[in-house]
Amino acid sequence: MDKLKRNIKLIFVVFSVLFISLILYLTYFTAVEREQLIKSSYNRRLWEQEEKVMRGTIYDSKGRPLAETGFEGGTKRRIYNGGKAIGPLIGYSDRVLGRAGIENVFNGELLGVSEQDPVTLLRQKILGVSEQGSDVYLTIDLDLQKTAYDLFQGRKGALVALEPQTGRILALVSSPGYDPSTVKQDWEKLSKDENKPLINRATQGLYPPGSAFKIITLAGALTYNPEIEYEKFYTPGYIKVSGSIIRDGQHLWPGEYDLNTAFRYSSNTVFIQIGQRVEREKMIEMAEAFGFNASNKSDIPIAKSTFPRPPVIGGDVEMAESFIGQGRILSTPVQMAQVAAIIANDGKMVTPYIAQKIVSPLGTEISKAPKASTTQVVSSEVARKIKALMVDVVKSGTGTAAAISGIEVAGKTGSAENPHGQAHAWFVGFAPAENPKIAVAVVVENAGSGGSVAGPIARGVISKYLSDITR
Amino acid sequence: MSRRPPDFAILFTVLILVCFGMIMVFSSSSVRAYYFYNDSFYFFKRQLAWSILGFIAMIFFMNYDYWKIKKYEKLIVFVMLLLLVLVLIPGIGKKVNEARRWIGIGALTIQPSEIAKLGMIIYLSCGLERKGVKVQSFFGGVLPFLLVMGVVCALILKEPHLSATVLIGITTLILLFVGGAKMTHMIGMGACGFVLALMLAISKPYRLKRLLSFLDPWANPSEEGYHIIQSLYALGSGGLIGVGIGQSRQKFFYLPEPQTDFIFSVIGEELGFIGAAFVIIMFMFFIWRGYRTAMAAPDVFGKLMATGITSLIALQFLINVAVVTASVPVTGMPLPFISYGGSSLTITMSQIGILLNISRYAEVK
Repeated sequence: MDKLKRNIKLIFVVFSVLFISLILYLTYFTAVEREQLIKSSYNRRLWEQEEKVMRGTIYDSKGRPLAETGFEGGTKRRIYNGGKAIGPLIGYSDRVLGRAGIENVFNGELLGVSEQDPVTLLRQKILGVSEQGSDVYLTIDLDLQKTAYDLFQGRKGALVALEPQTGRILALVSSPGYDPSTVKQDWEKLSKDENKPLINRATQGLYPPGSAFKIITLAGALTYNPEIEYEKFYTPGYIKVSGSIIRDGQHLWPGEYDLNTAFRYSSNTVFIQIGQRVEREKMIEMAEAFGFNASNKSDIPIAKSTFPRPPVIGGDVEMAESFIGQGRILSTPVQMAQVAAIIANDGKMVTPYIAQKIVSPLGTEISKAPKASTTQVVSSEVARKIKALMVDVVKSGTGTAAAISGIEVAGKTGSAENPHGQAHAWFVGFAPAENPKIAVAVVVENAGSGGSVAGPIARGVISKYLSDITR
Repeated sequence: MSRRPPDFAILFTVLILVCFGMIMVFSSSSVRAYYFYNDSFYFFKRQLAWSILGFIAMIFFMNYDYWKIKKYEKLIVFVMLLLLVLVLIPGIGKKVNEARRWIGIGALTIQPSEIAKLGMIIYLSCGLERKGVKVQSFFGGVLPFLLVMGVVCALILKEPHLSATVLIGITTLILLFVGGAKMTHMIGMGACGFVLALMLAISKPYRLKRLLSFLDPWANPSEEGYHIIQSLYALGSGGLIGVGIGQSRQKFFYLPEPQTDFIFSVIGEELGFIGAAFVIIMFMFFIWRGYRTAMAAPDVFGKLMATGITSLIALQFLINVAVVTASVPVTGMPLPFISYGGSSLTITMSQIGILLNISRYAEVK
């Protein structure tokens, strides 16, 4: 009999554990999984909500509406302001096409379904604003966005501009774009277009960064071998790595150069030499500290930039190619803008974000800006040295096309070889060098030399922004 | 033995759950009832009728001394097997949704598998009490029970009714364990059962596909994953306090069978986390009282009966909630006391009657 009792007790304990885990799971579900579920675009309830609710407005950083809901002949309509320059960024929300861009990411807020607090819900009901979504204020500057988009003149590419101290995204351009107001009528054409205007290249485009990546190689080298600053390097115009030959660009004659000249003229040979002197693992860690291989921490989806680790990258050749941004390294334009911003921000981490605040129909504001990071990616001393070298690139190196009179611009160019034709042109930089206000990354697909094609676009955006904020 | 009042805690917990169930059945089924039968109260009225019948059965068994059941052991096993065979014969058994699970005339239909759940508990409790310590041996002890269970499970599987099969299998194992079967035998049987279940799952491709859909319902949101996703939406929409009673959206044909297998989702949607937690806590309280009665029962038969009944209800509850929260594969399992269930509600309440009767003789210190 006692044994029986003991057995029953054991069964009871087992069931109790199961019940308790059930309650714990339910708590977790309500607290965590729920929110993602509610906003999922598969959720049909949201489309129902869509009909009842006045979808909130999306504003730019100066309070100009980028997307708002208005009435036209008694039916609700979404009105977009900004044309092709904002299409890939803002996206659309349509029952047939689905959702994309900011309209998709902040759908829950715009529909007002993310509100959890029962007291607020009750107040909204009483005040009669429960049928209204929240407004989303972006960090984007519409003027800058348009200027940048026009500078591409329809060429394929992307531009990202950040405020280096905060990570605020000032402009996020993907070219060619599309006009969200007419996306439904144009759908057939847009979805078949070979230039893929529906894709946001700035966040989803993965490109080899080419020589623009040398900023990271330099950061690794200066951190672990600071003496290279005073050394001279010999280049015969090419370097042999395990039998393969990697050549310099056209800017340098064979000879002996210091670090400054090698960076200014972007010598592949020298950068492979200094990269090889740093332990492999340390170099990969440096790239990861800058944001490669890391999961997205921004408030919009950004594709993961990758610096493959062994065994994905094979031998010395692929590692050597990595030091000059070729091989298997892939980066989004946002990632490269982040690299520039980190150097501009004295080596401190910068996380890009796009939503400044959410304002509910009751007027309560929720700030979305993340706290400024104090994580040091590279020491401020190393960041200062890299900055000085980047200033010289624009003053008298490959990046002169980005120079602006009266303002010291820091930058690095890149011409990334790729299997799709001519090299992708890169320019990554920031200005003014002594007190950076804006960091940019520009990529123009299959356009050839980074300095001459991407440089002027960066110059245009930087000078526009700096003249706007000083006016 | 002197008879005392029954455990009122069990009695009231069950009555609260049944009344709560009635409200939820009405709330979740009214839309479908109106659409299919032109009467919003269609399911509610039937649930009311069956629960009144169940209440009468419960009062009857509460006053019917449980050890008298032992006399009818052979008859019960015979009727159980007979019904299980009869239901398989086309013309006698009614086919609903590709499964022949129902038997009866007009509105008075029952599922033989429901009878089998109680029948097996009675059979095992009688048998194990008779066997005593002999249950320690394999051939003379455990094997005969396993053979009977095997036959019953095979018949139910033929209907097919997978969830009832699993339920009877696990309940049998629990009773054998409590009844004193050797640990080595238990582990062996558990392993065999697992392998058998695995083979059954693989034997039919649709089963495997449906079984695995819970792991990632999003892989196929419009087919295998559909039900579970709709259930998660229901729970997700509820939040802390729910959208309010009667306000569920998911019951509008998004959820399959919102009044039976997915009623917990509707509770979660309309009454939120608080409503769902309330139900879980009520059941937890119930099983505590149930096992407490089992431990205090005066004889082996009473102990085993109380354990079997409590375990059966606890298992059904856990499996149902696990299904709607996508923790285990989708299988049709009603929520005891709460789901719209027709005759199964009456049978469940009869079981509670037996449990209450045992509690009248329990020697709680």
